[in-house]
Amino acid sequence: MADQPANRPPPDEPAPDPDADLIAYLDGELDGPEVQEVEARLALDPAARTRADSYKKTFDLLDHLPRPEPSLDFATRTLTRLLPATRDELQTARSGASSSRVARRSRLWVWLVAGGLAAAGGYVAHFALRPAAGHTDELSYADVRVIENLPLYLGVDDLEFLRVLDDPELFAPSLVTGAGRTDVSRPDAPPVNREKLETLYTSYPAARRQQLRDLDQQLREVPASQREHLVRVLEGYAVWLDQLTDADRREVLAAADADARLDTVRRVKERAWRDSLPAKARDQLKLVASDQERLGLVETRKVAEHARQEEWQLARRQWDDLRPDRKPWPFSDPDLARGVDEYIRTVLKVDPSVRPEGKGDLPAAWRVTPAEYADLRVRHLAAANGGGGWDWFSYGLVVHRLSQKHPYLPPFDDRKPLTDATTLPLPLVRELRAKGGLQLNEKRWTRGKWPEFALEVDAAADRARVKLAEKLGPSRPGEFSPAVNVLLDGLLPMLTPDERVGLEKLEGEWPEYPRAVVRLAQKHDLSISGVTLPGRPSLWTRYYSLAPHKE
Amino acid sequence: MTGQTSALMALRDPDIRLMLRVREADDRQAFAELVGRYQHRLVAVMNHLVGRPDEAEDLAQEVFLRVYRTRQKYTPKAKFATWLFAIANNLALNALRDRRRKRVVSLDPPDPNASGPWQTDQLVSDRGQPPTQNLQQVELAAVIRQALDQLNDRQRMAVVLNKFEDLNYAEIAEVMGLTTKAVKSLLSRARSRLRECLMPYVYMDGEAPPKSQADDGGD
Repeated sequence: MADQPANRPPPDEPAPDPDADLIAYLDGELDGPEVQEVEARLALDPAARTRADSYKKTFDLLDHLPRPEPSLDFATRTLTRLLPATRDELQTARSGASSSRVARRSRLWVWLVAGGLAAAGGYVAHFALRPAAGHTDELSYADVRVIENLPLYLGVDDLEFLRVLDDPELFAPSLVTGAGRTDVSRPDAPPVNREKLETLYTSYPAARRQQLRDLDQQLREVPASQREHLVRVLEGYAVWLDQLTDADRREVLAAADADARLDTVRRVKERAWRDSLPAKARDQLKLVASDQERLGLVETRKVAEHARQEEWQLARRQWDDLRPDRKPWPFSDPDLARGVDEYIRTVLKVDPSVRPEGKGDLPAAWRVTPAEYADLRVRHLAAANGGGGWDWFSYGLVVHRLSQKHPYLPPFDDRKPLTDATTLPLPLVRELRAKGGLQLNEKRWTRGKWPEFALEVDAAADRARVKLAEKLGPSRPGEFSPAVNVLLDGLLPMLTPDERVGLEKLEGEWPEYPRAVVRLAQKHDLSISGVTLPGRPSLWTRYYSLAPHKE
Repeated sequence: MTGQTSALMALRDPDIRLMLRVREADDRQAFAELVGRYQHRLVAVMNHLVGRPDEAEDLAQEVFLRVYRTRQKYTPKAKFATWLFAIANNLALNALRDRRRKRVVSLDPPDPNASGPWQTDQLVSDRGQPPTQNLQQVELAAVIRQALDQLNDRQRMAVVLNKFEDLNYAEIAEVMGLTTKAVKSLLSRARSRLRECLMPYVYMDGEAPPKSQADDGGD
């Protein structure tokens, strides 16, 4: 081992220990004859049984120890410490970089071929069960093309099957890893491997060979950009197959048809995912009695894992731009940084720099949940207290996420926003109550919050067919704050004729009109002061969102 | 170890593949991926070993940095996790030895969320009072921590790897640079010690101790 511990302890030869075998038995570490010996002892000796029981129970008690999680910025801090060293080392290694890249690609090819040949055993076995349609001695050009790509096509039925694999839960390439990839050529297979592939291919029944030729042809007919994407799905799938145990790989390849193969792929992936969980989490899953509860736990864990992965992907996208001594956009611009603070205070209605007073209910006006606030506060403090680029990036991520989750609508300029039943006309409250639309006196999450409360009243009135005498928020130019009116003045000339007509049709409609204003401002890359995040929306998307910018 | 064998091992263990990318191309994305995958396990193991969250994170960070610094020397001979925990074992045992040597008296108040030998005297000693469920859990965790602290460093390491990382004896032997037989003995003595310390707490939920307990001659 490369970094073998330097302080290897002196030989620790065991002293005779009467219970060593008993404990090894409990740990499942004994072989056949030893197991029988211990079991015979347990059968005859009640004291040994009691001791075995107490060993087990006292060891189980260790499960009560809390298992601390690393702090939120642990990975960031660790990686940030590496940056200077990495830069220096990259400088010194620059001259050998290109040769090492070629070497790496070549090795990937060898892996694919090696894995492909190993995997082929299953397919051969599978097809051996079917009547072979005979062999062709002469290979066509289409055959040669298939042979070149055979390591990628193993385990693929057809294009439709491949498209199903193109799923984030399966083998869809991540948006990030694909973003910067320009060199898509693959090295040629070494001649010796090509011969093996040819032998393998010609050993297939005619039906399978035809299936592979069809797949190859279909792939060539899709547009080039899509083809490259699908080839990367194929690569991911091929590498995954390589990593499987022989038994798992055989299970995938020997499936009766495409549907059964997909089921097997999903099952094997699920199993691998469970096996990759920390021991504690695996135990937790084992202990849960009901399937529904187990599914719930799996789902919760997957959601958390997905969120972590998304953050990682975003962080990796900006890896080279993030430096301990430099704040990322928008925090690098003092005006925008102040704008973000302002947005959090006036739109999300929280202040992450101040811990709320008292221990009772949280302020009703808060538009974020307590858990979201805690996350925001932790990241804010990390960034504001001398944090590096990563801390600010992490803070930006959560601010952007909250802005997406809790979209805001501009309130009236000259009226208090509608945030609870006391600000509604009494006849409306009575009518809503009478028609069962909304029990406004009950404790609701939306109380105290704009625009959430107004949106709920609007929806309830709609459900109960109650006509609102007045709109619950501004729904035409001139009813907004001066800042929003200025934005509208700037936005209108930018709109296409269709957009302008569409917006005019919505005048007088709430919440449709302000929603359309916010959407069009976003589309034309404008920020609305006091409503949306400061700075160009496209930059927020570029730096803080994995989702492609949607028009 | 031939290049062919390491390539085969790499095919089986995705983490080895990542580490080979780090070794061969200084691939920082691959390294970041490894940190992401192992940070939870490593911090938890370190915390069980040293008993202080801040020190555990420092040590875990040092393990990752050492992995990166020694990347050029890396040769896949076992699972990546085994190599990682071997480095962790080395660093943790050194840190614990240094701590004993220095016997530094910290000026900081003890972390109420931490557990460790320095909190031994803070344990609730009066078990006659029915504690709330929450207090009971906190107290129980402290008692277990105290029992773990009764083990020597290597026993504690073996127990932590066995219990929380599900490593079998052979894997623990590889991590700690011992024979499998020595690990068996180490764990046996550790489990006996834990049993001595924790027996009074095994039946604390109201379940009566087995009748034969009184007759148990122990070890």
